[in-house]
Amino acid sequence: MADLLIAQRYAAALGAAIPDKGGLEPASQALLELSEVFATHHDLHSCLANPAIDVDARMQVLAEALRRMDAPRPVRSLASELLRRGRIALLPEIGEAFRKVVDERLDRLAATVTSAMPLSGTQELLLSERLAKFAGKAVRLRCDVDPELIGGVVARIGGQVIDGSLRTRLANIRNALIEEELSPFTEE
Amino acid sequence: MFVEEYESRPEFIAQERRIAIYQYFFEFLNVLAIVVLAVRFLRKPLLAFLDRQVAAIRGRIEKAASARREAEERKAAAEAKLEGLEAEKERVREQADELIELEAARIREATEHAIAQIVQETEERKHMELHHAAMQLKQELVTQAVDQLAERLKAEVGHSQQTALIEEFVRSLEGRRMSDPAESANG
Repeated sequence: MADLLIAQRYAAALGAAIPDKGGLEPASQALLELSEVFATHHDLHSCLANPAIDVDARMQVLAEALRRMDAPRPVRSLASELLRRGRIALLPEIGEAFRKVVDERLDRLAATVTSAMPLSGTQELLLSERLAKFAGKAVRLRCDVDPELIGGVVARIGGQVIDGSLRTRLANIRNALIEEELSPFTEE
Repeated sequence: MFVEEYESRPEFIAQERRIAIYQYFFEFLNVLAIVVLAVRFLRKPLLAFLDRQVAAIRGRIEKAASARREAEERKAAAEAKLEGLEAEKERVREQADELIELEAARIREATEHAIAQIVQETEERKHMELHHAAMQLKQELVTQAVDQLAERLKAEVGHSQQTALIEEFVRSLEGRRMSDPAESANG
């Protein structure tokens, strides 16, 4: 809980450091990429989070990683500050919190569409447009794949779930059939 | 020997006879005197004693007669009571027969009622169990059928069906707004 609050403060600070709305999305993408690299590359994680290694050496490693990612300047500053303060492990939480900050700044909603098979670009665009119309504001779409849905999609937006999957339809059919009363039993 | 010879002499015998007569005479006088004196002095107490004895005997006789009468009365009462007892016995037996009959009828009725209730409960229970079993069977059959259908659909649903489903989903969103509470339900 405390980490979440700290992450939200850092995310708010990063948002304040980027006055231009056009710079928010690249910063968010860079932060998420860095979080992903940090989470998936355990060597990098153990190197950057290890207080036994000299801070300057770690700074150099981080700067090189950020340079290769071509991260925006505010993200580099934030990452350096986190490393200096020993909070680099909070990167994933800060990334998530910053996405919310960006969504608020850009007046858009986060939406997740889960489909039984990967969506094409056209389908993503279509769904994004429809969900934006449905929500009445821009939508940042995230697409997941879950083969257990069998077919169709499930959209989650603004705390609401719109389920158009075959799995749910089958479940509804099954429940309806089970709940349907039997005809009176007659003994032969 | 000498004494026998002396006593056998006639003078001695005559002397003895005279002495005996006088003795008898004076003994008679003594007895007479005793009798006169006894009559004189003992007559009243004797009569009183005899009267008392007579009265006592008479009282005993009366008491015995009274006891006898009482015994006869008791005997008569006992005989009467015995006769009453027979009647009472008969009455009690009839009453007991009636009570037994009533109790038997009550028990019979209660038993019939209990049997009917048990039969009804058994029937209800049987129907309930049958219904429950049928529902379980139905649930299993439906689940199996739906699972089989799901497996079949997994194998059969391709991109074209997925596209159709997405288009259907998109159509379902038309004209709906997020603020609608119904949107939180399945689409």
